[in-house]
Amino acid sequence: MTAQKHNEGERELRAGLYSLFATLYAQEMPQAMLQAWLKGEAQPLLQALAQDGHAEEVAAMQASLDALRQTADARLELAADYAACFLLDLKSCAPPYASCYALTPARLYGPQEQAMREQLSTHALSVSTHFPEAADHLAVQLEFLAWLIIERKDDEASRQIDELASWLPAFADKCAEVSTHYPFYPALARLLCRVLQQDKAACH
Amino acid sequence: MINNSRRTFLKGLTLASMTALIGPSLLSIGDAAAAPAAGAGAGAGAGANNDGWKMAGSHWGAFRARIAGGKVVEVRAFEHDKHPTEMLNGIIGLIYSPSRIRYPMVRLDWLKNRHRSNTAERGDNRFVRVTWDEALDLVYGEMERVQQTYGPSGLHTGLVGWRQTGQFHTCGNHMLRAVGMHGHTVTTAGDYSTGAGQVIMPYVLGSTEVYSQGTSWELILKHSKNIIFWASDPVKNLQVGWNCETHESYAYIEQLKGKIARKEIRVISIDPVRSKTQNYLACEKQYVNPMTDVALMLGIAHTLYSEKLYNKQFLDSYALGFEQFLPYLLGTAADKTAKTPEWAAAICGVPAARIRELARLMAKERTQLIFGWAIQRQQHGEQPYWMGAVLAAMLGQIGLPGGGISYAHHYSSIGVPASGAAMPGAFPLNLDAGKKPKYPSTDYKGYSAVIPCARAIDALLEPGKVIDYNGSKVKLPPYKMAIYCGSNQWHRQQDRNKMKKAFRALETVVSVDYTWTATCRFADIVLPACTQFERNDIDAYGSYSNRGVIAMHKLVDPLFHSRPDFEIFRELTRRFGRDKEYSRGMEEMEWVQQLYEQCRKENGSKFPMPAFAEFWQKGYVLFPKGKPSTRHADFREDAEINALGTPSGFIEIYSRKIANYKYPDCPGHPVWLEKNERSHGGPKSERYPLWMQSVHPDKRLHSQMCDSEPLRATYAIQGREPLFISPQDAKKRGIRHGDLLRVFNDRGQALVGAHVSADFPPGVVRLQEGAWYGPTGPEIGALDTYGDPNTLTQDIGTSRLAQAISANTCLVQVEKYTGKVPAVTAFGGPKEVKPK
Repeated sequence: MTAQKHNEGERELRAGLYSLFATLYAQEMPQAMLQAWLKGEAQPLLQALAQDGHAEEVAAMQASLDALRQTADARLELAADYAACFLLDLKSCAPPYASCYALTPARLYGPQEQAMREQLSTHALSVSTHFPEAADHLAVQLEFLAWLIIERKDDEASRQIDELASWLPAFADKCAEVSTHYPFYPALARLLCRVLQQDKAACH
Repeated sequence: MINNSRRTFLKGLTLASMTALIGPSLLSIGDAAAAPAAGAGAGAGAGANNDGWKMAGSHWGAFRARIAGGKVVEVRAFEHDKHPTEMLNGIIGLIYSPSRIRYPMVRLDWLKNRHRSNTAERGDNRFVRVTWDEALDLVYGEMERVQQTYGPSGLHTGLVGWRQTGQFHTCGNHMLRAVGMHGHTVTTAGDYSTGAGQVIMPYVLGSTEVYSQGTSWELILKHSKNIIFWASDPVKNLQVGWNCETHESYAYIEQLKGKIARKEIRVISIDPVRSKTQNYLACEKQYVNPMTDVALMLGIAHTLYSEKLYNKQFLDSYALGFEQFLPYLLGTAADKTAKTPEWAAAICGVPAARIRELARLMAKERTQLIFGWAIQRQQHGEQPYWMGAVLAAMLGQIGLPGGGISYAHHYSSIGVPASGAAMPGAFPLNLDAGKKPKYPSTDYKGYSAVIPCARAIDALLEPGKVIDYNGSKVKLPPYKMAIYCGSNQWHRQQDRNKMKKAFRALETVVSVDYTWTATCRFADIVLPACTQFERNDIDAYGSYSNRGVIAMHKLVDPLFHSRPDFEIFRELTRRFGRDKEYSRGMEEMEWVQQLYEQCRKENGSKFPMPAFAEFWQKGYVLFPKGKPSTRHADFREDAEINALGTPSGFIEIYSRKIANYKYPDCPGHPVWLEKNERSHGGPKSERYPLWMQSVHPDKRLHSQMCDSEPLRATYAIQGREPLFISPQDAKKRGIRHGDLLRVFNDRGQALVGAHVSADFPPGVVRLQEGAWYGPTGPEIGALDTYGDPNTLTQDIGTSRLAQAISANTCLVQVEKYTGKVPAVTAFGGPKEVKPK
């Protein structure tokens, strides 16, 4: 394998990983996708992440999957955790919006939302009409990061990582405060934080 | 340890192994500004082409909003509003509030078990998001089940209160029309604001008075020598209006201030508390013990009679029943107690000499009595209003400019004359002529179809109980499902812990709102309506003055998944094939235009209005000021031709009708009745020495805007609702301004912030209504973390007559809070607390 090909493969993997995070934050897991997780399709990824130094977070996610396999209404139960973390009143949730961490008092649609919208616009991108959300939603930001990586816009990707890293620790702390039935989402937030840190260190 | 090496990143992993776990992209190619996502629900999706200044109306007044980047970034009061309220500063915080409901949500246990869910979990439970189709299918399914299982007595449509403004989108009409097309329901009579007043006054003066246009300020300023604000705080309460508020009353109050300074008019505020109005006007104050105003009035009446200061001729010509009242006043009736100033002084705390002085003052010159509403939201709340009318009748100035009595000069700019122009109509709340509901049954199985609104909780706890109500009997219906739309039942109803217990009897609760109110948190199905700033509408400018018509431009698209009530309920009716009938086949702008054009046609050449397009672009049309008028002047001019709406056509000091009801708590003429709890030496005051008043808030509209964080930050103390307390009571308890307090009684407990103020006398505390309920948990008795006064108030009827709320009959104790401080949960959504 040539070095270039190796880098290309890694670029795709990085982008794929952020797209996967975006998928998990965009909405509750649909039945088919949850089944894929429960059937072990995420095992190679989880193992690789564990080997990359995230064993604790991966273990919490594995434990959640194990518990969900024993649950009759796995999709609904995990969806209720998703709702508790991200969908209810933002004071008791971990708001998945950058604006909520930049403004005091917390507010939706702050300058971060506008900035993201404008940034997307400079690349002739916009938030899909199938995703009626504010542009500073974490899932949009991660999807955009994946796009930047694929498009080889490495400087901008690096800035996007810095931007995310500025509020994700607070986001992960909020996730940890939410009372969930399974540790899946709090662990996911910690995992994302660590992956970003790792990537940030590598980028610089 | 984090591995920094790129070489080992996700070693051995292939992209192919992840693809099944990656969903479709959230990004589209193409610029949002170039292709606005109109109606996509993204809130800011309309992009730059929506930018600029737009016109909006609200309960807080009209304003212009600047949109930039598809967001509301600036709000400026309408240029014709000379006295805008600072609450406009809360508008942006309201739209972008973190308390917004963003998606249709269903309580998980309800979703799993439907009407057999564990209802004790309500208020502290797990929700899941559903699609609009799923949510409306669930609502419709429940409406079907309830009509088929219980019939109309099984479904309650909650009273709609201060809905968002706008004549087309007014949410109550949408709910009532849509649900009414499906079947009949249990509805309510009366309201929470003026429940006692609006029932008693038709017996006494022939109309509700509380919602009647009053004597114009202009005439009051010209003719009154004395103005008595009796438990009325217009400077505080005129900030908001039922329709788009004009704030025109403030100009007159400003003039009044000048006249007081120049000693042209004497103004006395009779109130336990130094009100905002009193402070603004720098007028005189007359302290009175809480809830003893009737005793004070009786002492004044006794003086007027014994000193022959009353207008016998007026009573003879315009009133009935003074003779039946006199024995009670003079002490020859059954209670053998003369209502002398000395008798009154012992109860009301006003010295007898001062009572005589007040009587002489009122009788000597033209005196305008102006009552507020809070005084009738107490046990026997009918009495102060009735006795006020008796006083006014004895003074004999009813129908004279600057004299007589008003019950509403603090409300919606009453006192600003009506222009005479017609105002736009509204979306119909009833079914169209000749149409029948899908379930036409009106078989309520012997239960009442209409209940006094404040007895809605009693119906859940004691279904089948027969209660007296305004001369009739009401059999409380055992409703099993409730739909609330734009109404916060968990704000306005008294006694939270009683409610918690009662709500467990409800199988299904639906709440339609834009923000996570406590009513939503205690619901099973929560539907996100958008705010009024996310839809196009039209409104009257001035509820009583009819000064114009205001365009309400959609400022931004509905945020997240929220929708206008019109769309929510049209989709509901689609489920039983009545959506075209519901909407009459028209969309939003067609309705708005039609309402405008109908109004324009009605006003014709008398009040010319521009064509719709011109109006919509300009944002408003104003009509000339109306001519001043005097309340009841026509009656005074000719009492035969212009008879009052009372049974006799005259002022009824004694009501034969009410006497025939034989209600011990509301006999045939006004009387002083001791309360079941009363401060300053009254019942239960040894245990709970402080009277807690829960007046209308200064910086909210009831519970609206409590969720606006920037505005709340201007008054909250340690993040809690302020409890106003006198320096004396604070000192006695070692309380300093800014301390965290626990306020409590046998009914409940709440955390509040101490606001020490010399405006409050010893024995009186104020916790303004509308503070959001945020208990620490679902259990009965849980500590409220923000300071909702209805955690402490009692849920009893004012009397058998009105069965209205008695929120202001409430005693409490206060102490410095020393325990572990719980976070405020009021503005958070429901959160599960793990079992211990």
